[in-house]
Amino acid sequence: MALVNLPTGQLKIDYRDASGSKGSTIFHFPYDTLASVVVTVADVLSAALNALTDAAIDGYSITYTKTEDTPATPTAGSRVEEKGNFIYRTANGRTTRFTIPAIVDSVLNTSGSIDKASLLVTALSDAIIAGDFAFASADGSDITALLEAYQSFRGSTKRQLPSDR
Amino acid sequence: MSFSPAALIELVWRDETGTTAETVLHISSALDHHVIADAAEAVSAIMAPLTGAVLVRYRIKYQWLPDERLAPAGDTRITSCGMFFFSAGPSAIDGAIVVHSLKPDVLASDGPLAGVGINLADSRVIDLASAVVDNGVTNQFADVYVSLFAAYMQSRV
Repeated sequence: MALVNLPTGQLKIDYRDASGSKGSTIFHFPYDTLASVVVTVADVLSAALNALTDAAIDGYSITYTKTEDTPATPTAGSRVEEKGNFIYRTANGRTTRFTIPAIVDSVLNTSGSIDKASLLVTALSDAIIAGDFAFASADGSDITALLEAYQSFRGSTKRQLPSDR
Repeated sequence: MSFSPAALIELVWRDETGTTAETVLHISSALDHHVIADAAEAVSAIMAPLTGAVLVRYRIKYQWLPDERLAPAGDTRITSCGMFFFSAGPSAIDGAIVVHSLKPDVLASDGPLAGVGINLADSRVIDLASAVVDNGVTNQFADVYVSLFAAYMQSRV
């Protein structure tokens, strides 16, 4: 059981035509190539594309992917529609959030809030706020404190309904 | 282009039904992807006991956005594509690069491929081929492209 990187990373250049429809061009590069190197190439490729397309370039992204070669077995009854919502205060006075799908019942209070004193939750918040890595909000602000945590549900799609219904 | 201050970590979880959903975290984009990968694996290990789903993959994404929203140069639809086939060896097609809203004046204007084939002698085509070949672009298997093999127009719905 291991997370294995794909052979390549991906540079995606997005653009938009006069009607507002969007498309993208994808380039690959060896996985170990740093984003700082790829972005220099992206500028060159973007200029070359710009000369060939009538669309306007809207930006680009660089993506690196790792996949689990032997995924574990999910817990019986687990459903990703059941979300654990974690909302954090940030240093610039705003909030940031993420969800954990298929949140386990053992950290839920009877109201549906998440027990912030649970050791599993405090370990998570310690890693997010004060761990070795610089987790941040989308605008790059530091994360400072857990503000809210609660369970919510997303509607199931038809594909997610039981096959023996 | 402006560099987004935060890179994305997208953790993809799969539940018992096979359905997947993501946890999206942000992290300083000043970090290289190997460090972010360490962060992703550390935090996913902490999250694992909090979910009945299992981690199947994760993505790290850096984003750049334009400083101003540019207007399209012409009215060619996004579905008019140029397919540029590249070789990683002497004489085979090893991958393709798609250019949307291809400018019509880059198409061959005479011969059997008129209106469909892309003029490989056009300086803009040569520039794209050089940008790809000279900068180590590869196909998805990491085979480095060494030459432009062929190029055609394709309409996509």
